This record gives sequence, structure tokens and C-alpha cells, in this order.
Amino acid sequence: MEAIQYKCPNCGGSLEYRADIQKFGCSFCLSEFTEQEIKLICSDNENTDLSLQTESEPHAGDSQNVFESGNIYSCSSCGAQIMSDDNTAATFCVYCHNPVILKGRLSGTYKPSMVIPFSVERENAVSLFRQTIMKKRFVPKDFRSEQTLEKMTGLYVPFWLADCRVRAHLSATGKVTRSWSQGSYRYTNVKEYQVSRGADIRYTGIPADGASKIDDSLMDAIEPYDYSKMQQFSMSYLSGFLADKYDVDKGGVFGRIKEKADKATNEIMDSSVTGYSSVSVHNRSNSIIRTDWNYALLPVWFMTYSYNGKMYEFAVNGQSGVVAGIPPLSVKKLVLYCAAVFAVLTVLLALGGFLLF
Amino acid sequence: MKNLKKVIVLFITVLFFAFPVQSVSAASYGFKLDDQDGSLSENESARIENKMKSFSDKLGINIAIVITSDKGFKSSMEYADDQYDSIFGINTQGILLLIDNDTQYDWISTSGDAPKFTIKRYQPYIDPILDDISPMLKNGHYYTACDTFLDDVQKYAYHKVFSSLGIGAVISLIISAIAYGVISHGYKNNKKYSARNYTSSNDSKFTEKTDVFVREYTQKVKIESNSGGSGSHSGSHHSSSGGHHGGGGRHR
Repeated sequence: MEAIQYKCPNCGGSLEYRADIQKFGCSFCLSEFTEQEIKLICSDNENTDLSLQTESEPHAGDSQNVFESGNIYSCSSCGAQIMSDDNTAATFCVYCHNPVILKGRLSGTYKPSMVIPFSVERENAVSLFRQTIMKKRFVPKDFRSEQTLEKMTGLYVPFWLADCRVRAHLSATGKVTRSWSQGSYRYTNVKEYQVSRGADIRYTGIPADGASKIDDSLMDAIEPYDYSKMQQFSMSYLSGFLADKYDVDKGGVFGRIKEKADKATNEIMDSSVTGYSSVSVHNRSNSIIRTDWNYALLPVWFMTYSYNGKMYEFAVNGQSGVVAGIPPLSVKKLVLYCAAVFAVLTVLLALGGFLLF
Repeated sequence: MKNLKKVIVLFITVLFFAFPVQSVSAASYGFKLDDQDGSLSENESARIENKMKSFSDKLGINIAIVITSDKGFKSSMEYADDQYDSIFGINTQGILLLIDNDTQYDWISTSGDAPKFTIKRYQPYIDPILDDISPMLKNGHYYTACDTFLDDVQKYAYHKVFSSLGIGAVISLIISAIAYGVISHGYKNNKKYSARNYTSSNDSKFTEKTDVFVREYTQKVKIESNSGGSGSHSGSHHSSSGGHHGGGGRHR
């Protein structure tokens, strides 16, 4: 299978997609190219891709006979062999650090329809991470000044985007309650209503990541992405970043999509019942009657931290800059803080109680 | 760390000034037994006076007991307050028991605000003290009543301080435990983004929205009535001489 490298038409250096200028840049001669320009230049490449694609369509039987685990490619810049796992679609040559795209990986059913290019630069992602995570109050002091952090890595994560049509139904009993006192009696008047709601709800682009090695809840936490900035997929965007193809297909992520859709549907249905003092739901049904799927690569900056023998993973949305991930908690700091709160509150409450009662 | 030290120092300072235990003033504390009716024998009077002296020194407050059948035209409260002021002076720290053999409306008068807060210290315990001594006085056991009164004065001296601290500590413990729980929860899970944001009101519509009236009913509940308190007591008030007093009384 062929490994692709995008070369600068001016000097032959490697082209990388630059998030800060939203263009392709050459690190040697500093030339810049827009996407249209790259398309023209690389159209040969893409055309070649298509013809090569049909020829080198991977056969399950072949790969099993030849490779045990992982696949080996050759770097077209320095000739070294590139090691990658089964899902890697874009990476860097370990020896000459030039970006490499493993073309065959993103072909056929694995070819994404869309991609959101990176618009948050690496340095920006690092500083956002520092501001959000490092500044949290109960993070251990040595974690904050820890120098042994792994590099911030830009990865295009394969996402399934589901457009779901949901039919929902709700039936409940609503009560309007009024209370008043008269003489030595307390009166409570209750009006009961039979409440019915039915809705046809459409969701567009509910995301679920299709990479089994990436933590689902971490990806959920960096939502949302602005889909209006999505581009037609072109392999050139991957240059300079890592990318994976999916290894969990639509069926595998449907459960998570349904869970998200159900939760939102319940919220919508519940909030449509208003004007009652109390509501008790006795029947609820949601069904997804149709799902249309899109497969897109979405940009994420990953940072892994090793602290006290445990790995902490953080992610930054490569488009919006939203930071997610859980830092370690310094129990000592938190206990001291709560003890101080306890002490001050005790004195204040005791003083207040003594003087006021 | 610096902030924590400041907090601890502040805490200790506030405690120190809020609840002074021993007074360092040079004034000695007075006591007086004025048995106008001769309800106590000489022996009993001596023992009561000894106890009064030792408690008044120990607690740092004035203590007096007045037994009389002639209050002039004053009420028990007025008479007790005026007696206290004339024996010990206005707004000093102390407590006086008036045993009223005339109208049989006995009264406890307290005096003293900051820094010892004698009025506030004893106000919640006036009724319990009267609960103890009123039956004794009714039965003519004057010595036992006076002795019990003095024991109660000692018993309840710091009660309010400890119970305020105790309740304060319990409430603070609950609040700080909740704070710990809430904060540490934030270090456990990633936040979730609601899928509601992936739909718009243009895309969705309600196919059914009905609210049908079913029935109406009214319930009626009798309200419990409060039982009247036994014996009146006043919160804080001022006597004719201008002293600030607390206390309360009861008919035997």
C-alpha cells in the first residue's frame, strides 16, 4: 500500500496544514497555499489514488497471511519503514519526522465524507490547557509544575455523525394545588389533568467517536463542533497531524447515539409540560424511526500526563478550544480547605446562636 | 498555606474574645442573702451564704437571694430588678432570685451584657430553674429551693456556650462534608453536553399536546392549636433605674 506525502511545488519540502492561517504551509520555503490551489496541484495525486485504490483494495485474506499485527510502509522521503497500528491513517516518519499519509487506510468504506480542519494551533492548545486544568484549585502543586508531560498531539478522530428522527410520546398526570387556611382548618384544593404529549423531533449531527482506543466520555466533553465549518474530505488536510480510521462501526456506536438522543428527547418532552404544581409521568416512549449517517474526521489535541504512576488524559477541541479531562485531586488540599471552612463556620454559627437565641 | 495559617489564627482569636471564661478585672464579685421573712434558720442562712460566696467567685458574677412579703406597690419583676440594681449597681453581671411570700409570684432577675452576657446565658434556662424550685417553694422548703437555685446557677453558666458551639459544629460539619462531596465530584467525571443542542425548534414539532381536566377535590385538615405557656417571662427589658435586665417568673 502506498504512503503519500504532499510535497511543496516550489521547493519539494513537506506540506503541512497550518491551523493558524487555515492554509497549507511549507516549513522550508514558507510558501502558503489555499485548499483550492492544493487541489489543483495534488489532483494528480488524488487521481492516482483512485486508480491505485481499486488495484490495492485490501483483502482480508492477504493481510492475515502477510502481517501478524501492524502494517509496514516505507517513507518516500528517507526510505525508512514506518510502523503503524491497524487504524492509523496519518502519522509522522519516526526518522525524518516528515508527515506521512497512509492512503489505503481511508479508502472505500473508510473514506470520510467530511473533515473539520484544525483552527486551534498547538501553542494555543497548550496555553488553553494550562489555563483550564492547571489553574484548578485542588490540583496537587507538583502536578502544576510537572515538566514530564507528553507532547500535545494533534489527531483527527474518526466520528460518526447521526441525523436522527425521533417519535416520542408522553402521558402523565398533572396536578394544580392550592392551599389556604380558614379558622382552625387548612384547606387543600387539587385539580387533576390527564396530560398527553407527542412529538416528531429531528436531531442533526449527534456525534460519537468511532475509535475504540479513545475514551468516549472525553470526546463527549469537548463537544460541540461547528458543522458549518466542515469541508469536503481531502487527504491533504491530514498532513502534519495524526489521523485514525474508525474501528467501531455505526452499529457499535448506535447505543451511545440513542442514549444521547433519548436523554435530550426526555428533556424536551418534560419541558413541554408546564403550569402544574406537580407532574407524575406514567408512560414514556421514544423511538428512533430513521438515522442517516455521516462519517467525518474531527480535530482534537490530545495531552497525556503521567503523575504518580497514573495516566491522565486531556483533550482540546481543535476547532473551538474547549478543554476536557480530569486532573488528579490533592485530597490533602481539599481536606485542609474543608477543615478551615468547618472552623470558621462553627465560630460564626456559635456566636450567632449565642447572641440571637 | 499562608491563607490557612491566617484562618487558624483568626479562629483562635475570635474564640478567645467571644467566650471569655475568667474575668481579669480587679472588681470582686458580690453576693447577698436578704431573708426579710426569716424563712431560713441561722444555720441554713450560713450555708447558703457560703455557697453563694464560692460560686460567685468561681463564676465571676454577683449572686443574690431576696425573701420578702412586702414589695410595696411594685410587681415582682420591678421589685427584683430594683433590688438587684440597688445591691450591685446598674448593668453589672449577676443574677437575683426573689422569693415572694406576698403574691407568691417568684422572680429571677438577670443583669449584664457584653462581655460576659449573663442575661443571654441564663435566658433559655429561666424556665428549667423555675421548674426545679417552684414546687419546693410551694411546699415551704425554702432551704432546698435556695440551695437548688445556686446549683442551677452553676450548672447553667456555660450551658449555652457549649450548646451553641455544639450545634454550630454539627451544622458546620454537615456543610463542610457537603462541600467536600461537591468539590471532589468535580474531579471524577467529565461534563456531558446535552444533545438538545443538536436540534432546533424548526426541525421539531409537537404532534399532540392535550391537557384534559379529570377531577377536582378539596381536603380539609384541622390545625393543631398551641398550648399556652405556663408562667410569664419577659425577654430583656429595662428597670425603672435604667438597668438592662432579663429573667422570668412564675406563680407557685
